[in-house]
Amino acid sequence: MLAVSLILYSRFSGSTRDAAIRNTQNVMRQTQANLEDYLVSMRQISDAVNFNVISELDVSDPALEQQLGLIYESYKDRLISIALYNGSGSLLAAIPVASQKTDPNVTRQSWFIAAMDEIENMHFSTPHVQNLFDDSTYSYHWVISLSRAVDITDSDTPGMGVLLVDMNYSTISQIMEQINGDESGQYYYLCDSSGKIIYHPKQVLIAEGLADEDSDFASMQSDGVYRDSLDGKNRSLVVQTISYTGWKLVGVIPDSSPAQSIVNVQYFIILLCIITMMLLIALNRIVSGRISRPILRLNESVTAYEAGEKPAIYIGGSTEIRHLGHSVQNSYEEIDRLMKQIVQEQNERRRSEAEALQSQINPHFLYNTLDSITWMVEGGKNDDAVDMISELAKLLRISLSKGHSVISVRDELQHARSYMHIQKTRYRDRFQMEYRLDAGIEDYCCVKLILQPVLENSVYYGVGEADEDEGGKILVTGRKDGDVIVLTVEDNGAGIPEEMAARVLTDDTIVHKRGSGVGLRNVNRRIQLTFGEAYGLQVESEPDCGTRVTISFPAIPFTPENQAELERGKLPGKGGTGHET
Amino acid sequence: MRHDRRFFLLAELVLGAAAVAMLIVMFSGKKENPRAAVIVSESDSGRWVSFISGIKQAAAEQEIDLVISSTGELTAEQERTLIRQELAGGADALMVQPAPGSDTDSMLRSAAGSIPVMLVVGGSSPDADGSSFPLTAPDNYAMGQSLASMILEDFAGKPDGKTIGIVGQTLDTEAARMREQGFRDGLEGSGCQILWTLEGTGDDKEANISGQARADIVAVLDTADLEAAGADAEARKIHGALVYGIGSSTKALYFLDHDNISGLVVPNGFDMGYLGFTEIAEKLHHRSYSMKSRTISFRSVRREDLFIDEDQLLFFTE
Repeated sequence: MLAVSLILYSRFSGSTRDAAIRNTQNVMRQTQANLEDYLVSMRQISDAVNFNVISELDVSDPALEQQLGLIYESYKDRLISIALYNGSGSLLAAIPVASQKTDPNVTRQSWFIAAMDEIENMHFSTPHVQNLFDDSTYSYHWVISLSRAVDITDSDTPGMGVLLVDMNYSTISQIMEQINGDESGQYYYLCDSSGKIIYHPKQVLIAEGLADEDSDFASMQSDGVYRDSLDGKNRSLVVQTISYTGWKLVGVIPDSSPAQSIVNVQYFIILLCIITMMLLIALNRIVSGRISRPILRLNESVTAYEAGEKPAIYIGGSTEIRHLGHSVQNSYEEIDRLMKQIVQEQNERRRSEAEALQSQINPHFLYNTLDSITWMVEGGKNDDAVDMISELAKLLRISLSKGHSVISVRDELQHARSYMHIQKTRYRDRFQMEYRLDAGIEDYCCVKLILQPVLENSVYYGVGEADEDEGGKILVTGRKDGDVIVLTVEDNGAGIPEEMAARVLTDDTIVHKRGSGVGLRNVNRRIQLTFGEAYGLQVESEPDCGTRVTISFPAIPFTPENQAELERGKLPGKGGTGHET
Repeated sequence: MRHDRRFFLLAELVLGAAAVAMLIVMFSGKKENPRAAVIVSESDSGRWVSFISGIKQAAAEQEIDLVISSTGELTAEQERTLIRQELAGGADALMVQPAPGSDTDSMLRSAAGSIPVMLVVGGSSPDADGSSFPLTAPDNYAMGQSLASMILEDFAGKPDGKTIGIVGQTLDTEAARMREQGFRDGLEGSGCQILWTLEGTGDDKEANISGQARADIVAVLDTADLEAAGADAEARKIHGALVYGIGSSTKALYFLDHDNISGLVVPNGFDMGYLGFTEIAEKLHHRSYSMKSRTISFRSVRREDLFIDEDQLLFFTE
């Protein structure tokens, strides 16, 4: 903007300067015309006097002065005097009539000398004070003398004389004063061909040495425009020659004096620059604000979120910022959801474990078992009692498992066997147990207390109510199917109605009338919490036919490390590295 | 962010103020020129021609509107009234020739108030040298000495036995005293005899010169008396005495031109007007400027010097 302004200003100031020069030239042309008209009229006066009066009349003839008087009267506003001298400098005639000063030294005056030196020409002098006649009003006149050598006849004797027409200098000074007085510093002056000043607005100051003018330079130039420097100040000079005299009319345009129009342009350009800067600053703020404000607001909402507040993430601004905001919001929502899920899972895990823990010390089962043992002891069946106590001990030991929630399949099977052994003692021969277990599945990790609840359901809701001759049977199978351990508990008992079978793993309102109360849902949830959603229970049942519960979980070798990983909620990788379930 | 906002507001405020200032400058238009009034006694008199030409030149250069009060012979009271009129007419500065009989300082202070005032002294002005106002004037003592030198030169340095009469309008003023002192000191040891000294005011002077004992030389110390002495000499009323004087007027130059005055010491009236008015202009344009007194030059002029091209402008200023 600044560069454009400077260029515009430079062009405008150049144009203004050119216009000033053209204007000056126009003024000078008019002034030149006026001066030339004036000088021409003086020449015409001189010619008229010379050819119509002096050439026609004898200087001793009184009519000569009368004729001179007539001519003088016609032009007296421009003339001071008309005088005729002989070659010796004696006054022959003069108008207006006046007494000549004593010893004016006419022959030593420059106008006389010039006329006598070049008799073929008319000579215009530079302005001077007339030093010829007495003026009773004590006045002196500034004149420009037009002198020429003339042929005179004095008492019939031909001779040479000098005709002097003294023009009133004030006519020229008035012409020049009219074009001077420009307050911009521009001025005009007149000088002769030798550089001597004829008119200058500071003529007296120049004479006193208080001002300078380089009229010598201008006087040597032909008509045109020139560049000049005076006292360190640059200026343009317009020079025009005045005809007949060789005078130079000089117009001076200082560079430091701009016209009012260019001053106004300077102000306007400065104002334009200021307004443009204001607008640019405001626009910059708006644009940068529109860009940065959404980012800052997004940042503020993220910061607030990180500080624990729950503000809505700012969605606004450009497409990119909106996308960023959506991404951040989605990320936070996902984090939130996952955290809630984790918390929920932890809670469920704790609840399930608590429930499982509760089942470990189910008082009813324990009571019944101890009761059975008491009965055995009272009945003298000490061996059976010992056997039952032993199985109870195993069951309790595995139930506790030193607080571990993940045990080996071997221990889980042993727990199931112990449980069923105790139950068979109580239920006598109401059902049969069969175990078909593949070799090698016992050394894998397993969630504690998953078989016993299923067996419990089979006993209480499957075959437990059947008569001895109904042939109730519970089959426990175990195999490794690829990377999955599959345990099934199958009975041929009463079965579960279809609608109940569908709900048994999902509805936690189902209240167990008997048993530990842990339930299949608990087993399923604990398996999924430990191993993932892909694993757990699958219940198939048909009323009066039986029920089959399939338990699946990944085949993770039982090692202390894997056990610890699983209990921490991580799934051991194939290489033993854990990953989250 | 707050810091940026503050900076933005500050920048906009500063630029806005600059824009408003520029608008005011643009639409304020050209300021009116200050105005200065010039009050001198007998303003139309020929002795002020050069002076007025000088102040007009200075006024044009400095873009000061000039008012020259048209006056006759001023009394102190008339001058005080005139000053008040000019101030009421909007004068921002004054250039004043103190009128006779006035207590310059106190009169100007009471009349002009605090506006700038430049005093000018032209020959017959009363005391202005001791004034607290700045003064533009020639070195009166040096002019007196120069006048004495001209006389000694004309008499080849030995005017033994020549008698001299001294004329001055008010010789008890400091200016006149200095001129007389300079003149007397310049003649010391020359063998001249000061025959009489004329002082006083008004038209009696003409009669008084011719009524005095015949002196070989009459030395006149101010313009008005010089013009009168020149007229007396033209009318052959002073017994052929050679007149020398200090003065600046076309009439005095006329008498010099016609041999009625033998030698003149001419103070530079143009400079007095130009330089004195320039001081006023500086004060008007720059309020803090302190106006200075200016001493102007003078020339010793004889008849043959009058029409030298370079000097005509100085003597015959239009």
